[in-house]
Amino acid sequence: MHLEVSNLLTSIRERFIARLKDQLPGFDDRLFEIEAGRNVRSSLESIKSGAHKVAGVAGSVGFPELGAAALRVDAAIIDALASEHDHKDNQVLIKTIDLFLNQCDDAILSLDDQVLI
Amino acid sequence: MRILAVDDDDLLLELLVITLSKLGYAQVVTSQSGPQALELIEAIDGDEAEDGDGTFGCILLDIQMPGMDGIELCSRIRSMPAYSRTPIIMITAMTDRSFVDRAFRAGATDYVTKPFDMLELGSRIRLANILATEQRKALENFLAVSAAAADEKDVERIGFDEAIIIDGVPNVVDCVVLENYLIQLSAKRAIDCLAVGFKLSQAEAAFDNLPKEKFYQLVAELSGALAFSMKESNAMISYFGCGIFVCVLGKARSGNLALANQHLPSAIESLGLTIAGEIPILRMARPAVGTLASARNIHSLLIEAISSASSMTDSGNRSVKLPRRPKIRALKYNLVG
Repeated sequence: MHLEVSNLLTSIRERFIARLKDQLPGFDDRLFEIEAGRNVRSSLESIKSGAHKVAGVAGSVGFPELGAAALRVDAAIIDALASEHDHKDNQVLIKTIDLFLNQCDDAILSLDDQVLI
Repeated sequence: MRILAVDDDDLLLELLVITLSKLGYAQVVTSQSGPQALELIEAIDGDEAEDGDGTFGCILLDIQMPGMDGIELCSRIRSMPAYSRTPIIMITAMTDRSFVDRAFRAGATDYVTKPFDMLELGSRIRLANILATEQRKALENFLAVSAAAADEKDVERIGFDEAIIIDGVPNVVDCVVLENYLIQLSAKRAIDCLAVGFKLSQAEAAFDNLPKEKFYQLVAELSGALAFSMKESNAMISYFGCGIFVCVLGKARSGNLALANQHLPSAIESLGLTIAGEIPILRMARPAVGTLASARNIHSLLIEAISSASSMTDSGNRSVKLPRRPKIRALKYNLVG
């Protein structure tokens, strides 16, 4: 029973990372759009939707820092979308998103490292 | 017990199913959207599920979902008579005050933040179910007292000093849910609140002399009048027994309190209720003010508001018996304090 649960959790963790790998290029593209001042709102909504899902699962599959970073992005984008943010606000937001994407990279690499070991 | 879990993330649902199975809940039905969840609930008929009533025993809802969000879904489920008292636990990454506020006003019983801890989730489900069972039993017994007056030995009498659960009045919640709500609000950051007790004059006489369902109706209608008068204050209201209601509101809205108190008599008068031929009077006690930073001082604030209202009692010699929930409090102290 314990082995079965452990296998299920390992499977979820691997699929979480696989999903993250799929999402990451999209996150990068959207961040680029925001930095360029294009399609800002739709890009923010897209990143928010992805970050929200990451925030929900990451902490439960062994990536608490990633979960916290995703939650910060989710909350920051909710605030930004609710207000008429200016260019200066965007810089803070971009930094928050960038830190989250770094955490995504770290999580992906950590699982890749485990596979190599 | 059969559990319905609703979340738009398939991985999260899988995690929930595994976690719940480890906790001993093997019958978990999942849904990835609000409309699909409603279809599932509506499709269940009486001969399908446990306890012969065909309903889910507990519902876990994510808040942020595309289309119908978890708060709207909670509200829709709550409006179904079969689910008026079913524990609904929001499981969400959203800790912002507006989400907590909306979730409890929509009828949520409790709130668990992601990433969820297995033991915490298990405790919340178990305690929510104990609460729901006790509430159902208490309400049934309370309403049964008058009907079974000829054979009162068979009926567990509900005391004057016990809380009454009021369904279907906006912003009026069970006292345990009120405490859960305040705990969630204070979990992220300390908040300044006022808790104000209101005491019904002649409450004990009304309890002794009115048929019990009439007393219940009186309390429910007075709760509604109180909620109506306090609507500018965005207050949450509970009935704690002994004719005492407690309203909790943000300190920033305390300016609305005097006005609400002014409007209250006319709101009550419009109900056309009487106690011994007189219009009921709800008297406001001195507000208790506190900064909520832990479950312990939330409880203290409520006690202070109740005590303040209790001291105004016309009979003067009865004290409110707070609902029995030591295990819930112990858990929250560990989590928050």
